[in-house]
Amino acid sequence: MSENIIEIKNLTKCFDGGNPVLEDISVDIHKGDVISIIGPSGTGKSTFLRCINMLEQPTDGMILIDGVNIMDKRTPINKIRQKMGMVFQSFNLFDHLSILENLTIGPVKLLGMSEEEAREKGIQLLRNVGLATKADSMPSELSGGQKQRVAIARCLSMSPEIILFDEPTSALDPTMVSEVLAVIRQLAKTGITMLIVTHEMNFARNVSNRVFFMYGGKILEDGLPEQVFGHPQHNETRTFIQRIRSLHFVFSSEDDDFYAMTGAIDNFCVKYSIKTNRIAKLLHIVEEMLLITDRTSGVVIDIEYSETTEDVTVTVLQQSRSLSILNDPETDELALAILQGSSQTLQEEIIPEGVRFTFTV
Amino acid sequence: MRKTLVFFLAVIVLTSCTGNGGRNFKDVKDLNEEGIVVGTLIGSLNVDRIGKDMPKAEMKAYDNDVDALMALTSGKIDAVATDGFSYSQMAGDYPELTVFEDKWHADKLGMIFNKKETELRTHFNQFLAILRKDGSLKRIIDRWLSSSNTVSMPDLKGIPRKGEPIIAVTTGTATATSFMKKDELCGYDIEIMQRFAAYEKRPIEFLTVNFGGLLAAVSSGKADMGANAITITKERAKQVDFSDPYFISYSILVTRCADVAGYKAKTNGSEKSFIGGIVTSFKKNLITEDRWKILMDGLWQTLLITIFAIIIGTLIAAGVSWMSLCKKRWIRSTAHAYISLLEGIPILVLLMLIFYVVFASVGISPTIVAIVTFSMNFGAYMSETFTSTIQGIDRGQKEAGVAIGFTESQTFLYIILPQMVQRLMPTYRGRCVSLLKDTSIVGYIAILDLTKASDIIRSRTFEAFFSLIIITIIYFVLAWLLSKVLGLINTTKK
Repeated sequence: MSENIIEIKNLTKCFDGGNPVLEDISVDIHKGDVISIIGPSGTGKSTFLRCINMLEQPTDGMILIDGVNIMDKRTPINKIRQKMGMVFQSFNLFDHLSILENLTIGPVKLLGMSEEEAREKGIQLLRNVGLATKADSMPSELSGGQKQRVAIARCLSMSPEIILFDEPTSALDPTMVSEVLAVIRQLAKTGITMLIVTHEMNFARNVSNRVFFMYGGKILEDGLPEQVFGHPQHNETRTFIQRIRSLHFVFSSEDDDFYAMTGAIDNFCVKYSIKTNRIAKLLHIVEEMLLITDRTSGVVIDIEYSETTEDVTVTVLQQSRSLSILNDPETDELALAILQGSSQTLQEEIIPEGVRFTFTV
Repeated sequence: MRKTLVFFLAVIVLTSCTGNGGRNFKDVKDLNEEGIVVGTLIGSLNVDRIGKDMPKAEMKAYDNDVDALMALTSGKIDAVATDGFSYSQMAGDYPELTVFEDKWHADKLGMIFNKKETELRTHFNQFLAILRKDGSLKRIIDRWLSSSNTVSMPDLKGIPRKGEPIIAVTTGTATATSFMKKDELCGYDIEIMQRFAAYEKRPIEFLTVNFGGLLAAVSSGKADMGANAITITKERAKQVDFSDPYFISYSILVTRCADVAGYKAKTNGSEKSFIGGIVTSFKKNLITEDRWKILMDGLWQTLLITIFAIIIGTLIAAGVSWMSLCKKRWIRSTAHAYISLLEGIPILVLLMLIFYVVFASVGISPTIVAIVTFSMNFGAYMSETFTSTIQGIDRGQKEAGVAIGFTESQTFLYIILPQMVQRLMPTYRGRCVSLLKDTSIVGYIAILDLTKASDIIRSRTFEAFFSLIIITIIYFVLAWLLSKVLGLINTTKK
């Protein structure tokens, strides 16, 4: 195991005394790690990143960078930040400076580099991100993708040990995403420690050596990309990664509105462009299941659709029963035949809550 | 710039061609009619007399005799009430006017004293008695009244240089009594006061204000005494103490010759050429008595006040803007209170308040008062622009600066400030130019600025327009230069 460049202990952040946005996060980041931070919106990914360079003041806990506690008031945080670049969602190039001046202001004013040396280095960096011809342009003359590449070059001008990327492609046109990702991918090979908050799942899977899945202010899952994407340990992770959309119905009497449910299923399927023949099959399954189950003792139906795998899964739980329905001689045989015919797989389990059927369509 | 000038001249020609005639006035009663307009000096006794003697007529008050007489010649008003001897000095310049009533009212003139300066007043009355007894009072006054242009101030050796000075207030724009000649005050009031200073063995310093400000200056304690052919009245005696009367003057009524009954128009063969007129005016307004020096003094004061007010005002604006962005609520409220207070007071009122009330008893230079006032005003207005500009700069700019490793103050200096300057410049330039022009009111607190200089020249030459046109051109050039200079800041920054 390589040395820890960032150690985070019990990090907590609350905004204005409200609910915690980050809750008791402890994690070690090793030198050279390229970490993708994924998770639904509003789960604290950006806040987590901004706490690491103290753009947000953590409420509690400890952050050590190279063994120095940056939350200590005596630590000169600006010196630490010089070793730790940040790329913003909205680029934040200095509007009053030309592209090259954006790259030289840091080294000249902060690292004491000569103007000439800084310009040389700046041109080199611009060449690396493919924008040497734009050196004398103003930020307003550049496209979003170009601005973000300049922002990355500006980070590199300070020769940082760590770079924090806060959703670097979220504000970009889809056509410009790849040019920026290509630059970051290139950078990942150089051994700089990188933390990337991103929604680009393929990028996270292919480029990083470690993935954090954040949910509800915590790092719920931390592992190799193939682990997190291939065998997620938590339901929330799976739901997020496979982009699962779901419907949930509960029946407790014979009089519950069956047509409201079929209407909802119809809308759901149309919304996610599920093909008509699959909708018919799905509706058959739900109808027949309601026929062979006892609604008065409670039936719970869950329908899930994964946008990544396009699988449709139906789970039906007959509550307050511990005997198989499939093997019950009283069960309607025609209904069973329809269920078998409509589904790709059919599985019945007896679990403590009752009898559970799982279909894939 | 040439177009502007042509436009000005056109306006002047148009406004000066509106004379009318044929009113057939016979005596004072003829003025007491609806539709008749009589002009006089602001704050002079004639204001009340017009109300009493001719209640039906409308009264218009002017800042000085020249303005009133110009209004009369151009037909805006029908008569002017003024005092006899100051008019006698100007009569030659107004052949189209005539005295219509030469002993309308008699006025006793007296010097004014602060109510606390009873000792000084007693001394003065004793001194006056001596002057009267040996006949020198009559000689002094007669000498000035006979021809103020050729008479000069006697060289008084008895005035000491050191010691506590007598502060005396006067207008410097009154014919024969108190006027400027080669940037020096003279006139019989000035001579009497200087002789008094010699008698008292104390130095004397003069403040010049408008006629309306004389009593305020003395009663507030800004000046110990004052003289400017001031008529003794009960009203005035409530605010200040008067000396014994030293002269009796008569107020008169003047009107256009064409309006007097029995007047027959004469043909005037000696029309001057236009160019010749300009050359004469130029000599009279600028060369005679080195009057250009008064303009230069005025220009210097105007520049001094403008430049310091811009510098200090910008600092105030920065401070107030910082305060209104502060997290602490009471600091923000203080800033807001300051801004709304200053935005709610007219600048002239503020100027007089600070001079006559706040610094009433302190011997502070009026120029400093003007700089303070204009800085405060400029600061209040600019601070709002500063604040909105800072708020208009994207938060991301600051974050990017901080994230790269700049401290908060470095971020402000290298990232925020340059962007502020870029955005602020157009408004800032406009405000600075407008400040330059606003300083034209400082004459109210005894500062000889460009506008006041033109007033002084006008009161000597009795020509209303020429010096106004001169200062118009000077203001215009100054505003243009100021705007250019501020424009440079922006381009050198990039």
